[in-house]
Order: sequence, then C-alpha cells, then structure tokens
Amino acid sequence: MKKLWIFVSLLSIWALSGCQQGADTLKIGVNFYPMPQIVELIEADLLADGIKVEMVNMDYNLLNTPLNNKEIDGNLIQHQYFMQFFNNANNANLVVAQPVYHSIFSLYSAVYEVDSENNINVEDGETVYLPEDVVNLPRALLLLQSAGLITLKEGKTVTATLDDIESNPKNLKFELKSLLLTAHAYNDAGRRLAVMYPSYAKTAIDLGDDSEFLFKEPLNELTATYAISFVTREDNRQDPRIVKFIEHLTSPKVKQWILDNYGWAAIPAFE
Amino acid sequence: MFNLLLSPVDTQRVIDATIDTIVLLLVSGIISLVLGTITGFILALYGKNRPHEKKWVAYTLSVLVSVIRSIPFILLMVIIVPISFRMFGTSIGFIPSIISLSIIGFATVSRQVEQAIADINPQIYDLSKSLGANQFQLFRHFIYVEAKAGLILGYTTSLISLLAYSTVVFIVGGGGLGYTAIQLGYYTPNGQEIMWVSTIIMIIMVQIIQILGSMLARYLDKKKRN
Repeated sequence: MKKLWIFVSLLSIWALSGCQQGADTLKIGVNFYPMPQIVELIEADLLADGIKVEMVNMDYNLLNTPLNNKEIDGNLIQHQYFMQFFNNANNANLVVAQPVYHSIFSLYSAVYEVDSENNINVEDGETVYLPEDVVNLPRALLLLQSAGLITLKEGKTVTATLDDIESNPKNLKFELKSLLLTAHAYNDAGRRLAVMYPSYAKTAIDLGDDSEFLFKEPLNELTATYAISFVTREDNRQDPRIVKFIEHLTSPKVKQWILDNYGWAAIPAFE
Repeated sequence: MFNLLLSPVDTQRVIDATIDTIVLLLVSGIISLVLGTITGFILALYGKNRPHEKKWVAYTLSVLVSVIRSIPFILLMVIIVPISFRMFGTSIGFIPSIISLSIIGFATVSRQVEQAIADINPQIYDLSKSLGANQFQLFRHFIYVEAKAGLILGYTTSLISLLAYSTVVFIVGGGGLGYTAIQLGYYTPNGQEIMWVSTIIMIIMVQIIQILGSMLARYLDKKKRN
C-alpha cells in the first residue's frame, strides 16, 4: 500500500511538472472542426512572432472550466450566449475577444421549394424538426419567423420557446431533437422539413452541400450575435500575446481558408 | 470503401494516440488491479455466508462498488474534473482521465476477483483449517493456487473494459484512440480514414490482450492439474 502511494505521488509530480513546463506558451482550448485546423494554420506564423501555441482539445461543454481556472488562456468553441450561461452559473468573467465565423443556420427541405413570390408553401400540419437545446431552439424559431412560417410574441428573441409562438398559420407540428438527431429524424421522415446546421447535416446524413437549403438565416444584428468567437478572461483580454493571437486569427489567410474549406457551413465574421 | 493511407500528420497522430491509450491503460490498470484485488478478496471472504463473515465491511464495500458501476462513465469524468482541480491543480488531460479510469477499473476488477474466488471449491477452507493454516497461508497456498486461472481471466476482462472506457476520456482532454476515432474521425469532415485506422488498432489491442490472457490462464490451469 505504501509503495502504491509512493507510485501515485511520483506519478502526480511527473504529470504536474509536465503541466508547469512552457509557462510562456499560449494555451488555446479547441474542440470541433474547423477550429483546430485554423489554429494549426497560424501556428507557424505565431512562432515566428515568438508565441508558442499549445492546443487543448476536449469536449466543448467542459472547456470554460479550465479557462476560468487560468489553466488555459482562451478558447475557440462558443458564441456569447453559451459563454453567458457559464458566466451566470459560475460567477465568472469570460469575455468575447473576437468573433471568428457565423455558422450558417438553415431551413432544410428536399420536398418543398420557394416560389417566385418568396413564399414557402408547406402542407398544412407538416412536421418540422428543430434542435431542442436552450440556445438553438430560439434561433430556429427566429429563423422560422424570418421565413414567414410562424410569428413570435412581441419582444421574444433569443429566449423564445414553443410557448412564445403567437401564430402558426400552417399548423406546423414541432418535433424537438438534439442537434445530431435532428438531421437523422429529418432523413427518416423523408427529408421534408427541418432547421439545422450544415455541419451537423454533413456529419449525420452526409449532406454537405446547399442543395436542400430552403431558407437561410439572414445575417442581421440579432443573428450576428451567434458568431462562434474567441473567448478569454477579462483579466487577460489585453495581454499582448492574446492581442497578437487575434491579429493572426483575423488575417486574410484565415479568412480565405474558411471560405475555401468551410464556406458551405460558415461565413467569416471579421474583415 | 475507404482509403487506408493516412497523411504523415495523421499517421503521427494515430501513433501518439496509441501510446496515449497504452499509458492510460497501464497506469489505471495497475492502480485498479491493486485496489480491486484487495477489495475483491474482502468481498469474497467477508461476505454473507462466506468463510470469514464480517458482514458490515463487505456490505459497505459492495454498495460502494455497485454505486460506482451505476454512474454513467461520462458523468463520472465530469464529476472528477473539479475534484481533480482541487487535489492536483489540473482539470484537463491526463490526471482526471487516470482518476476516473482507476475508479471504474477498481469497481470492475473487484467484482471479477470476487467472482473468481467465489468459484473455487469451498472445501479448501475446511481443508486449510484442519491443516492448521493461518490466514496468510490460507491465502498463499490455497486460495491463490486455486483461483489463479480465474483471476487472470477476470483481469483480462477488466483490462478490456478499461480499454473501452479509455476511448471516452478525450472528453476531458485525455487523448487516446477514442480521440482520433471520434473527435478527429467521426466529428471531422474527411475523417473517415483516421476513424477506421484507430478502430482497427483498438480491435488488434483487444485481441492481443484476450489471447495473452487466455493463454496464461490455460497454462496455469494445466500446471495446477499436474
């Protein structure tokens, strides 16, 4: 037993010493495509400016904890609403340092089309599949409102739920699923109607183009707030290394890369 | 169907991930083997209607093991994150992965060891008593000898379970083949190749562990008979 404790403590010393090395490296939390690829793209340029970047890749739901604990310096996983949830729940001071891209959010259908007068004539009582989580459901309802299929109660925006639907002239039925399952359900139901992200449509049912876009989310002041952003803490927002990182993150090189490789699912959120 | 030629970068990633998985498996395997074996013995010898009844000790441990095995593993990892930060100052990567794998491994090994000892012929307890063996001799010359093959098979099964659990630790930044298969593979456009290569390596690893374990158990069984 004693030996075991010695072993465990040695192990932790070794692991912790591993964590301590490279105090001058910038640790950036990433998770899903294309953020790790974008950081890889600018890694060499940052090194030329004397900044070594280390990526920490783990589940995005957990990545705000190490940022708040000062174990990492920033992360590239979320929009401001997701960050707000964390801030409110943990009394944290995370801030949006730089929006990176707007995910295209779209109403999908292989059955219906938009007619010459920009009307979408769906059948009465059609089922539409929507993401169920507290951030994406309001966004989906706002999209349906923009498409003219429903109206929401006055003043309801990014917190809207199904209860806030004012009028539903087509008598749409709403089926809520997780982001990934929305795409599967849409596929199983004969690809009639769903609101989803192209990236999930591609992952789930291998639909990686805009052939089934029925109505894309218009980019306006409200929807722009959903931009996937680079988030830091309030205390290191002005750190010169962070400023340098943002400079490279918003370079024309990155913009072009997003357009070339991820243009089917996103629009760069910087000039 | 898919092209198994990975780019040099991806090849390096898979190699690193394989090493990660082996390290995770070894470290958590050793910890859970030691703790689990001790607990398994206690469960098997002190349990109800067992040779050395100490009901409360066995009952408490049994409940603990069952509770651990009931918690969904992803939840267990998420629970460990703040604890790991308080104890070791790190909430990401290797340490929380090892802690959660060791906890679940300990529970798995405990039950396997308990089963292996429960399976041996109960007459050896009377025999050892009549020969005047003390507790240590009972263990060394009777239980250990009789249960060896069963223990090895139990360890084999536990190690394979740990390997399966280790594919999920990428959620807390632990890396490994689960990370290359799921995060870089399944969740990434054009990640098909790395997904399948990682999976095939996992299959090979499970086969190696199983074959070695079965061989060792068979060999020990033969030796016992002669």
